[in-house]
Amino acid sequence: MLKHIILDALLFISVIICPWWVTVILAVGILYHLRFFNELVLFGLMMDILYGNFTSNLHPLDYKFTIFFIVLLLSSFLIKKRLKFYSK
Amino acid sequence: MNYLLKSSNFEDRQKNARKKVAVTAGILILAGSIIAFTPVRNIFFLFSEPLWKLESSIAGSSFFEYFKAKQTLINERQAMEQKLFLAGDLLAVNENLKTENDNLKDLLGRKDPKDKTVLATILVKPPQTPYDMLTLDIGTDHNVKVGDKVIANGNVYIGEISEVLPKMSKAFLYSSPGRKLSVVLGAGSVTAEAVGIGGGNFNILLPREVEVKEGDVIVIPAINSNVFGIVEQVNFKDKDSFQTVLFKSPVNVSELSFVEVII
Repeated sequence: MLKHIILDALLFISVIICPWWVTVILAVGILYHLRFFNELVLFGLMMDILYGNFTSNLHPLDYKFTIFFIVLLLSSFLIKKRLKFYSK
Repeated sequence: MNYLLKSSNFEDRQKNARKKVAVTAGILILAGSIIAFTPVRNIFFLFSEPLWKLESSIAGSSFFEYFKAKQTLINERQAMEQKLFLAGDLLAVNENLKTENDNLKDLLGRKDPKDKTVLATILVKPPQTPYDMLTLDIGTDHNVKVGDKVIANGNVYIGEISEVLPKMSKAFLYSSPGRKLSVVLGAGSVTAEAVGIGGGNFNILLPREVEVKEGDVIVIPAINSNVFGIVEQVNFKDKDSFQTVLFKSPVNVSELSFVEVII
């Protein structure tokens, strides 16, 4: 649990101060390191709000990182089922 | 090969499943409230602003200069002195031309009203941001509003304010991919539509008959036509009836620290 919180805090800081590609690499690493990392979607939303031309109109182009992270998350469910590291 | 078996305890598995569903539902509700409510979104800026300002002050400080080798500093100084010497002549010519331009406009009854501008520090800029956006440290506290123009180096238009917060604002760059802007091209004053392709670069699609060459100046149509870009390349194939003009802004946004907002 503590590790999860520390990784969340690390990703939060990375969203604010690191280039976006560092955040994406870190997010993918944490996603596959932890068993359960659904809050990845919130970090994508945070990147879109902080750096994008964000509106509340639900236009898909305003949510590029949110959508990308949702796709990553959903694909991770399928991939983790096939990897022995996550079998329990 | 033996793999660890899943827990055979049905109640444990059901409890874990309910926990996952509850957490996922909580995340979705939180995401929905962030999208729907502006005060909730502004919490992100509340946390980000101090870190950005700290990063900006560290980057702008002279602390790291102490670690540079002496010879590197000497070389840099000599190169800058030479650039300054060359720029001095150009500046003098520029000043003369500007004065002459102002006098002619005055004679024709079109004296430029001086725009009121506010200096802004750039907190976040490309390539740190994935989009061609700038985050500035002024907002409604300095009467900034959506649509205000952003200029760099005194007279180069680079973007417009798109979102305003109490102490921060965001500006999109005209060179954002897909953004279109009406411009005037070259000595023939050809009106065209420039399309941003990112990173301070634009392209214009023109008929082959229009004469354009590398080095032509591009301006935004206005009485006070400041340089908007310089033609870098003109591409066409022999059988094409159109030519693609590639130009870039004279300002390198990733090297900027300050901009002005016309309020």
